[in-house]
Amino acid sequence: MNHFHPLTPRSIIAFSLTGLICLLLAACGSSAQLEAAETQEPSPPTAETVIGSGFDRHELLVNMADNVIMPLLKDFGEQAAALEDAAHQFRDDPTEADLEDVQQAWQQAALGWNRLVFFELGSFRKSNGDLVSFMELYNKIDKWPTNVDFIEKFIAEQEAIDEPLIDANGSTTKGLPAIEYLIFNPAGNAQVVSSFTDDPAGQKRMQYLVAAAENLNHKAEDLFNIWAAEGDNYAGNFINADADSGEQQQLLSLLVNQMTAGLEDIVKRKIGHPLGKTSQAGVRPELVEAELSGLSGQLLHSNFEGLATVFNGGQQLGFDDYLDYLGAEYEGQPLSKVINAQIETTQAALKAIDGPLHQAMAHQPDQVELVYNEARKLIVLIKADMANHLAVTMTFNDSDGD
Amino acid sequence: MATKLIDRRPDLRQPVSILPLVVFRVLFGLLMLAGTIRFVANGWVEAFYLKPEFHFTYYGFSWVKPLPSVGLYLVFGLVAVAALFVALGFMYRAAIIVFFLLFTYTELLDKTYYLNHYYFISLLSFLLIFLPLHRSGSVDSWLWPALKTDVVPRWTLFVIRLQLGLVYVFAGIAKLNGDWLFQAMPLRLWLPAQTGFPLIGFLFDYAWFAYLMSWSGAIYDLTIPFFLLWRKTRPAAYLAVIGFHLMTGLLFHIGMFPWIMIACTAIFFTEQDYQTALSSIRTIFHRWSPYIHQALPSRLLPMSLTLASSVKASAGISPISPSKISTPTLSTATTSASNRPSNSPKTDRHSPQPPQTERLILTLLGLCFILQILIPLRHWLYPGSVLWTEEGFRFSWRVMLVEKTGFTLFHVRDPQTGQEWTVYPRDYLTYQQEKQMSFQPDMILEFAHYLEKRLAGPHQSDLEIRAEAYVSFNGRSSRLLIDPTVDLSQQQNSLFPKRWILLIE
Repeated sequence: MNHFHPLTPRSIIAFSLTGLICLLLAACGSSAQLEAAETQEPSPPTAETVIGSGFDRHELLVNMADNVIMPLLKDFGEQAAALEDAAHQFRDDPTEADLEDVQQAWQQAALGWNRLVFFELGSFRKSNGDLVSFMELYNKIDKWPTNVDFIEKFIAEQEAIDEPLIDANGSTTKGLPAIEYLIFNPAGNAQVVSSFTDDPAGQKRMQYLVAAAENLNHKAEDLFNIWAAEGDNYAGNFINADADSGEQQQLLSLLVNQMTAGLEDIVKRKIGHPLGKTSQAGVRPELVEAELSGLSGQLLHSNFEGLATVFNGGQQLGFDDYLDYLGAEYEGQPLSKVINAQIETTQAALKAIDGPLHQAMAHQPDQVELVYNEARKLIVLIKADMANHLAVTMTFNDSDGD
Repeated sequence: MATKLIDRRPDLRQPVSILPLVVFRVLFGLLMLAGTIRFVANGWVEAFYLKPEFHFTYYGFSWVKPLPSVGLYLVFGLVAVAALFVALGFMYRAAIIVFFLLFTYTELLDKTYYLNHYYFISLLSFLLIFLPLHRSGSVDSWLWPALKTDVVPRWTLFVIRLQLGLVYVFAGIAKLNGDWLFQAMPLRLWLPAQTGFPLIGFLFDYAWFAYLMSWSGAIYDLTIPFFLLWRKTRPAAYLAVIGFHLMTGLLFHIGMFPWIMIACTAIFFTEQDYQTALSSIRTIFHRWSPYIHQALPSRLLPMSLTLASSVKASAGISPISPSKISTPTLSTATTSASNRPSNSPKTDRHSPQPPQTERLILTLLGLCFILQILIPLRHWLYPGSVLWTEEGFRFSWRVMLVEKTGFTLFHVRDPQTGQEWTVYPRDYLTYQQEKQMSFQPDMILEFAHYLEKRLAGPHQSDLEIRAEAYVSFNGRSSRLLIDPTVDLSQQQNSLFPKRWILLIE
């Protein structure tokens, strides 16, 4: 209308706005052409101009499924099967030598299991509509401390014990910690063998052990089948994740979130609690994981191995590479190197502990405290720094952001 | 003559078509209804308000507590019903008052879930209480014909446009910081995570694109209200609004916000715009289907166009005054009307808002807007960067400005026994509460106070609580946010600067 002043600033802004829209349209247009060509990839840009340089998150997820998760699950499956076999063997021939085989098999299974803790990825729906909760399954395999009183009462009161009975019971009465309770005794292996043979309830105790080992093997099979292509194919989610709908980013968020939550839980419960860091009750060595077998330190070590494997994607494409591509730094150093160095520092501090963790709480409290402090630094690097660069909080699907 | 000068000034009391307000009311009501249903259906009432044992409260509003389950669901039900009533224009004033009060109540329950667009909705619904959105195209105007009007004073539209303009402009001003303009942060972190975006996703890996997005975003926010006000640029500007919000909506999980902004921004369209659009639709149908063409109304609101054009034509010199068109509006109180004998007393009687009431409302709304201009600027009263300290961060349209992640532990000390131990906040808070608290000082303080109370036994009334809070902010290396030597149990929450926040350069 002619009664408007011909304001120059306005028209300048009008032009710039039009220009911006044109730019965006041009961007859309050029990419549409690219898609139409379908063969051409954008030429590799130079390092200065690029943030992600087309990082292949699909490849990372495929690697994570095929080369990290599935092999770990396969290992654990075999270890659980071996533990069941050893338990059967021990039932048929309850000698100290066969008990040692069971103990060996248990140790291998427990170590294998502790590398898998960072894949407790929430819950998902099977193709038949059933909801699968990883947490529930993980608890059935390894929930500690185990309920000793319940186990003893159950053995004393039941007429006979078999796998379905064990399966129906609560998580704190089965799995790795329950088996550990039955087969390890600081008083010595002779004592353990006699608890299975000479004790009036020895036979039922043996039934409990065998049933728990069988149940553990079933759960290991269940977990494997959830991931396996021939089963529910959860790994397929990783391999077929659609970039366009944000599925890739969601899975990356899920992995990073579990790295964070898992690590925090491990540091708090496995070191913090027994070291008296989390309550005013002081040092309580009896709160360590796997006190009876004395394996607590090695299990922790296994956890950090598992963390390093997830972070580095085994030998191939992992979060370390992703952070490098993004140019993520910590105090001038590549963040990926800083995180790996911190994992190593923590593991080195752990290795410097002689003997089981619960003994070290008394003998080398400073060394245990060092492990605790180094591990906490690791939490900061992963939960604050790494999460920031990967922008994983943005898409964690629990509410709106702004 | 002097009148010419006066006439050129936009008269806030000039009668204009009510149509934009009616469109706004329907869209707003329906979106709020959809948003409320979505909120409940997502299980958020349970997860956000019922499940947590502790809630982070707003300063001065710690008395606002969640009702028990049944009551809280009832509140959300009432919000939904009120939103529907607003859309229908049924018992409008009561509905919008109920909506404003109850919606704001739910927002005050826990600041973990603070979102600028929730604050925007609270503000908007407050303004709507004073606007005559129900006086046409509504159940109310059908039930009580005396209420019906085709015109409203211009300020009723202006209020909503001003509200939207403030949101945009302050969002734009907030983007004028070093991180946004010269580091392209945090878009530089967010975009590479979204390279799967259709068509242009591959560009997200390039730094220049993050800069382009940052700068165009800032320019967009700062200028869009003006382009929307100007008739010539309005259609293009509205397309830009749709494009911008759809894009951010697809990129980032921001729920209903894009739709709310797209719908609300339609308030900038005048009745003339609607008529132009309608006549072009009529032209199209005239060509293709005469039947539909005949079925289409020739006017959206028959009275209003006549009025709008006649008022425009009169432009102060024509003898036709607004009051002469027998419109029961506030325009009878305009300056032009005051020097004429009122020839429609009936109209005056039907007007629900006498001049004094209108003056009161305008004063109230004026105060509200003055506050709204001051509140986003209050961060100047605090030392350090508002993006780091978050002092004066909320209620200021600082949208999408930071990517922050943190890890906070609380170290507790009993001065009587000298015992020290550490609390992992995740043991008391939900995932989201812990995430939000880990980088917001006022929430860290509030949780420290909660811990003091919660842990205090009969012999420990005076625990010392210190926070070890590492925060990574827009790609910077993590560092301490809170002075780890300060006993937070001794610090009071207030609006004064929190001296125990460690500043960054």
